[in-house]
Amino acid sequence: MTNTDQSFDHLDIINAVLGLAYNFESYPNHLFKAGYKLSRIEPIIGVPDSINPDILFMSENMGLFAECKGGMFKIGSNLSRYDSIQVRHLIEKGIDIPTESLELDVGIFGRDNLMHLKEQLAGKGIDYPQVILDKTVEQIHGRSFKDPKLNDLFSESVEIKSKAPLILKFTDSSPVKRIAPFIFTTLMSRSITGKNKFKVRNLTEEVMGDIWDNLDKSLQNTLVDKMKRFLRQCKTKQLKNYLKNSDDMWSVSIPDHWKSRKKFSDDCNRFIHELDQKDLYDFM
Amino acid sequence: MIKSRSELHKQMERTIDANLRSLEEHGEYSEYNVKTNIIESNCNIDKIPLTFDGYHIEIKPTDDKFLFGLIVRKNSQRFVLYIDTFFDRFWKLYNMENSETIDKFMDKFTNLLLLDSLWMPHQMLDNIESTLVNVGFSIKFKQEIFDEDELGEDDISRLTMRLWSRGTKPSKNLFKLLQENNYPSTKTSTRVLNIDDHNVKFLDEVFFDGKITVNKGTDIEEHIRFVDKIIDDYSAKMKEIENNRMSLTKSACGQVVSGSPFEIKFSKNYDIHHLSEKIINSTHPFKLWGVIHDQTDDFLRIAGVDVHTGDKFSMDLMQKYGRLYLPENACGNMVFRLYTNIQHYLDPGVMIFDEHGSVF
Repeated sequence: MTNTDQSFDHLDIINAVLGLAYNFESYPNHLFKAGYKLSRIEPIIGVPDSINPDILFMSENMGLFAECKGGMFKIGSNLSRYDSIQVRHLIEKGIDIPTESLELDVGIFGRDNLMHLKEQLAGKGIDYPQVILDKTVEQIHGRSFKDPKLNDLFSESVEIKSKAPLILKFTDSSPVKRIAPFIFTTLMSRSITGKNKFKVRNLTEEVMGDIWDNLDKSLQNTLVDKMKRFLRQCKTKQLKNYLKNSDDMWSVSIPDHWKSRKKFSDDCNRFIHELDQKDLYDFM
Repeated sequence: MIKSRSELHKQMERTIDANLRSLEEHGEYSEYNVKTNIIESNCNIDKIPLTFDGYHIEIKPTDDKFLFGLIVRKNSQRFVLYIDTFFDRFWKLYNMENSETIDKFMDKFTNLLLLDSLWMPHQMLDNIESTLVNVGFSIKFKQEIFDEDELGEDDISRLTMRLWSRGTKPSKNLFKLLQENNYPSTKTSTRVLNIDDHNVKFLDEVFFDGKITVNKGTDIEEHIRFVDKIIDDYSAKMKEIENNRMSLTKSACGQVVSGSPFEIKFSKNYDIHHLSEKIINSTHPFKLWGVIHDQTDDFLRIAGVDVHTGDKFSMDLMQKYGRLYLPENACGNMVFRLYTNIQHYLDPGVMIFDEHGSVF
């Protein structure tokens, strides 16, 4: 399990922070404005014991590690060790360094949990800038950023008018309600392109997309088993008219007419709504 | 049926010559105009279905590796087009047939899986005009998303006009007038004159969907060169758009995200629930399907499929904005189709941005 998977909320915070580095009008673009680009998600940096930041952003002369925090009490092991990271450690990992005088900094990002985390951090002598991303984005605690542009941007409270962009859709351990919409789109895509028959493993691989090859065999098998249970559930519930199987060979059939496709999306939406009603979905 | 590219050129040249003479002598065309339809293809020619929507097609090779004759039959009708597949992503279909017959056929042909028409937003038609003499345009805006009673007093639900002018000034000034008065000014075609030392090389009309009609011409090669330039420009824009497709790859140190979402900016606020019903119901013209998996009153998150190709996409809809996420390998023509149809059927003032600014 990787950092991004520890909780549903954690992935939301990761996306909320990643969104700051894109040139949006519909979402704050502080990092983009200050010249930062996303370099790595979850880099593992050996100093020599490894530190596993959530995100590394890079500008022309600064590297910014973003530590995404969703909890109120746990600080984790990274924060007390960031000071030991030097530019040479990034070079060892094959990360491009944009300038000879690259400076590194750390920002802690979270929601209103940061109000509570403040004391825990202070207790450990950690005073990295702490930025809240909730209804507004603003630095609320900690020392200044080393980059004056970031200080200027984060010192002012800016309203967040929309949900964060969906840069990472889900991870291998996301709950089914988060993955289900992409299972439905994969089924629809197969139906449109005439690839109606499939094995569960192939479908799982397609749904997971870029993530799949990064997973070890046992995790892949676990996901295939989850997918089997999910498809069986679909087959007995809202999607019974579309799915059939004989052992591991499944088929999807959605008639090639807009009304049928509309009905399929209505059925999928109803299923998603049901999943929303259950925090702990029994078969996952 | 012609057998080579040079025969095709000769036949097209003969047609434009005959029409030019007839126009000068009798004031009307003697033959059907030469027309070229550019289409976007994501497959090889041998993957085209030979029967669809009542049409039966026969593909005949020629001496040219890239050129094929297409004999089309429907009931008692029979007509011929020539497909040039030299640009493998953008095919040119030449014909000298009845316009209405070809338009109906193209409508069905480009509705086939993995084929699509071009979708040039009005900015691209403006660019075509920039190096030629603009002598007319068409505007067709029809509010298809919201009913009359859902619109404000100042909203225009329908505007259709077609203008021909002698010289470029009336055309440009009238268009400016529309813009200044906030009327829908989304061009669906533009008439351009290529004139060199008082000699007209061609007078072509370029439509948003990639159809180009030779209204007058003296040199077929100039028309072909003009069509190729449109393909070059569309292709370059496609490349820019597809460079934004998003992927997540594993590196030696963490994961790298490539690409970025597009941001659509509407000219005013819309009821997104109503909007999404129209955009993702899989029908013409958007041809998109989706499920909504995160929603509030003013935010919708959609996981979708392009019904035209089977490619997946994601979209966020807000009252004033949209975000479009194209995954790796998705066909970029969806961006052209979505944006152009929003211009034609919802919001003529809509804009679309990538990381570098306005896409069009």
